[in-house]
Amino acid sequence: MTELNIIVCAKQIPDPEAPLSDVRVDGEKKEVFVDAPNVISPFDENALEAALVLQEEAGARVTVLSLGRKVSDTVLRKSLAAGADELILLQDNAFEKLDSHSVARVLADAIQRIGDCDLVLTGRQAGDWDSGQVGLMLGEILGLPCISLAREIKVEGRQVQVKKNIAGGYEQVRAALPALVTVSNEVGELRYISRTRMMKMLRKASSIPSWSSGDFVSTPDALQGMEIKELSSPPDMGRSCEFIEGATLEEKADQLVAAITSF
Amino acid sequence: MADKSYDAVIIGGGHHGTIIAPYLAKAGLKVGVFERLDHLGGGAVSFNDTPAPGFRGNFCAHFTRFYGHPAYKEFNLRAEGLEYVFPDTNEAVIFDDETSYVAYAGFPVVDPKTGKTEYSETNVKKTYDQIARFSEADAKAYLDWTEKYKEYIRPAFHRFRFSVPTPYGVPDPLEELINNPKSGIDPSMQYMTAKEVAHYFFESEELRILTLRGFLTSCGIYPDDVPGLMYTFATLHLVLGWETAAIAKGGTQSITDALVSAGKKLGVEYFINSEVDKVLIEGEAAKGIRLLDGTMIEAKQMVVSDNATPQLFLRMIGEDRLSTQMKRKVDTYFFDRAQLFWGPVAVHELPQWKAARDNPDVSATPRTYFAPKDLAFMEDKYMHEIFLFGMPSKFFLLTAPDSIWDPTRAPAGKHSIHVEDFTCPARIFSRKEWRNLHDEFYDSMIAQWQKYAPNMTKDNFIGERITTPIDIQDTHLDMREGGWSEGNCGGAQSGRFRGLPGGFRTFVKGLYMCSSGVTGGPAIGRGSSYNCYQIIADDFGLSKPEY
Amino acid sequence: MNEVLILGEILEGSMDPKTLELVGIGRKLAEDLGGGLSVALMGGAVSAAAEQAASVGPDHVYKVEHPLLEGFTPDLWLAALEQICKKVKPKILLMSHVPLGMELGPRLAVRLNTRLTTDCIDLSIDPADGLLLRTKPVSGGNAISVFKCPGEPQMATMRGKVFGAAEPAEKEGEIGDLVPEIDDSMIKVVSLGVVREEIVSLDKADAVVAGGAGLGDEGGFEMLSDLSRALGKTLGNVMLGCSRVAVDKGWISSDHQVGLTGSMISPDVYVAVGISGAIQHLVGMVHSKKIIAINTDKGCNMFKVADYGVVEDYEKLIPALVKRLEELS
Repeated sequence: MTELNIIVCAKQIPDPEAPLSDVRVDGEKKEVFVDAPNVISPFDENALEAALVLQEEAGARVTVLSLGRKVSDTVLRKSLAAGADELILLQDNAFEKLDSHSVARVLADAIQRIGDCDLVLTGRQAGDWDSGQVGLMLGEILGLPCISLAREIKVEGRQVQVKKNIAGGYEQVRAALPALVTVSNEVGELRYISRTRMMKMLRKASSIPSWSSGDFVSTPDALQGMEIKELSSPPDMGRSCEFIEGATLEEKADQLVAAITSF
Repeated sequence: MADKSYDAVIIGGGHHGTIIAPYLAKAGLKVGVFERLDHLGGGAVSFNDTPAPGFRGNFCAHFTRFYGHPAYKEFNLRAEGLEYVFPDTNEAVIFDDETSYVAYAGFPVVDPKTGKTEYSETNVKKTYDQIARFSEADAKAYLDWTEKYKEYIRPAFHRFRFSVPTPYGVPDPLEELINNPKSGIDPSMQYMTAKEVAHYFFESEELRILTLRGFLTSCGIYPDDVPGLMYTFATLHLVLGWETAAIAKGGTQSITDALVSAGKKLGVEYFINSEVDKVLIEGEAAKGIRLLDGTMIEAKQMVVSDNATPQLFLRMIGEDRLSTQMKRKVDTYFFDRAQLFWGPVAVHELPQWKAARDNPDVSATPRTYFAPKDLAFMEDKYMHEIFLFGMPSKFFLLTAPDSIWDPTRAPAGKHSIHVEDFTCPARIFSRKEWRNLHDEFYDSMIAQWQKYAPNMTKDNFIGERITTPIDIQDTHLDMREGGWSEGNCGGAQSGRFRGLPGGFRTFVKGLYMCSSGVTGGPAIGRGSSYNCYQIIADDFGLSKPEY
Repeated sequence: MNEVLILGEILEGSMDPKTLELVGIGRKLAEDLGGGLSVALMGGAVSAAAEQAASVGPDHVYKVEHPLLEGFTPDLWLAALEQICKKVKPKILLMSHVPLGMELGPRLAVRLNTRLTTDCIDLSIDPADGLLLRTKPVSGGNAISVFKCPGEPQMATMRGKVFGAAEPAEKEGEIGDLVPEIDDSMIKVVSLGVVREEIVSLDKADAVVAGGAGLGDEGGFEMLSDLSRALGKTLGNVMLGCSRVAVDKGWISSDHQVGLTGSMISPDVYVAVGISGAIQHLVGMVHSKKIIAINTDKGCNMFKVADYGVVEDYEKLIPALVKRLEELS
């Protein structure tokens, strides 16, 4: 049996669990600054986990692609520690703030350069811009069958079987390989990476390939940046918190019940 | 029109806010303290039912010697309920080959009421014998340094801690010793790294390891950092056990309770849940504060900030008021040291150390480390593994079984042990990863502890409240990156250089800084607030305490 | 032609209310462009819905009927929609930000070589060049961005409940047929069947009582259950919610999670207990009509979005609340 080649696309974003106070919106520069460490976008971690489960069950070679102007290999290296076989960074100034369609085109070029690919997995959406476009666009560009919102992925022979989330349940679907699947959180959290695994990873990660635009992008002139006309903080919700004080617990409870039940 | 008015407004009811408040009130000022959290005390707080029902645990600071602070006598804090217990044992380290070292207090407290100490020939002999078991030369060095400490360094140290720093170029009490050959202090010591200090003072692997771990305990200094004279001797006195260990009955909260009680008697008004948003500046002078809820508080004479640089200068004053040089200083004030896995664990029984066969005292020493006898690891790998993985593969764990001496910490028959090892700045890991690291630390700690004390199995643990840097960063806004020291303590962020130019006197007239972010540095009972008061007393002609 | 085309949706034979919202915004855009407004309805048989659609006054209603469009087979719907766009050549194409639009939108944008903006909360026309200005929340709702993209049609998916539904109009739209050329061979992803599940659908709740890290342990949710039962007597359908931390710690299953990676909800009342308010949680509940926060840390972010707050240990407060609610009922 030939080994399954899986490519996982993983994006680096600021920790979405950061508290509100760590976020600053700069309307002039049209940028959102988040004073929090970068992480792999949560749904992309789910996609990686799905790939690693297939690696264990069916035997697979897992390659992680990450694209950006500058990608921190310390963040993405965790994918190697978790069990991915290869990490390729796609880094170029030209990749800064690309729109979803262009990101998908660059990823498609990278996948075509890699060549052997049976299954492409992406998170269902990124944890920062929440567009939810790149995965399906990538599948379409590559001309692959596209399945979205997977909660479980199985490969049997040259077929992929997916439980796909739909309203009020799931749909069992099947497609021939190669295919693209976007992954939802139900597949499970990325496995925990212990220190011993991290140590092994350090040796594995001695040289992580980094491709720049000139190495693989077929139509660099066609890439489009996101055009942001305006960026602002969300309007004030007009809320101000009325603190319920009270000498005793009973008093507080009394006032709070009144506040909850009055309309 | 202000909603309230005070002579002195104090931003933050942290440790130093609670110290300086009674000093200002005693000088006749009307004082108001405004604290963001729902409790006072900053690092000196303890909680009930922590880490398990019926236990009482310290959330932040654990090791304190507040009986030695001038405020202890000034406000008669013993009468306010702050009592210390003084074990004779002080510092112990247990190695993985089952050998151990215990340092006995060279200057034990003989009068718990006043904190009066006396040199103890007996204890010095005991420590000497402990060291002589692994190195004759180090034992002799111990005697030699103890003599120098007694004669020169100790008096200078006390003066240094509770006096306003001298300007650059004018020697402070420690620097004066450089000119005294009998003190043993060499000018190059000011610039030695921690590793160089360990090698300069000791030849044995045992004491070198303990010195390097001691630098971390003392001020979060890693082997290749430069501690400076003050932290060098602060660390050596830990390693050699010169000063007595001390345990505040009821936890470090007792310090806060006593200070606040004294403050209230002097008329200080304390407000919790009162986050300060801005310092009100008119012309070039501080005129009051504005709380987050919009309340305006007038300061007739002064505003005193118990905040560090990030909150005071960037938030409450505003970056636009800072000069270029000030901004550079703010930008170069780093926060990437002194991050801990830290907190109490509740246990059924105390560790039964294998090393107790050699010396039973290891079972009852207030600060007991267990550590691999692997100096090369500590010197070359410890910090690097911490910054890469969040924790080292070999722990140099500090354990503090306070409930032996203070029964208020645990229900009868049970024990509470404070634990500590080092980790990296909060920014290096995501929140989810910190949750995982916390669990991994706890499991690894138990696994490693069992090698030294086989009864420390998971079944022996009742509960834990181990915090990670992300917990500290979230609750303490000045503790960027979640270290406990409000910024690095080495070299340019230490001594007279700590904080921004101006030190206690900020560039805004009538605005003073009394926190750990200025000279005096972190840890409970250090001198920043006391020295800030002296500066204020000079500026306003207030009476000065005698010390 | 400056036509605005809406992909309508049908819910149990009738037009989905979300489509009416699209007609509302679509009409405004069409006026600004000086062009027409049309609605495409796809399915096996869409006549009834087409009548309804015509009554709200678009210029055209396109019935796109085909036996293979019965049920939602993405590959076929996509092919059909691509053909319609190529025939109608709309300047703007709008869809609802629901699973159907989220699935078709990105793939269609590739096939038509254009750009798509998802989950918009406002749309307008840039008078300078007639392009669509697309307003959407980004960074977990912490910023609002206005995007402009090249390409035609100008494509966007719209968030629900932002615009009011279009009212019936005097002039009815013309209904016409567009017959797609589709067949089985276009199906690359085969459906093997659908499984219905009983899961917690927080979006159906009138009120949500949610817990986070501050609960300290699993047992905290028992106390929250007591509270939700007690509140149920006055507030209707009360469900348990939680933050991501609570799920990570294994205290409660992930279908209860509120936030970016869980449910996005706006119940009448949201009671947050021991939740400090990470961005990723706030974005999922900040539109609740009334927010109550219970936390021991007065500085936490949850209080910044709450209407009422109590700084108190929940283990003490909640039993008192439950007692009080029981006295009242």
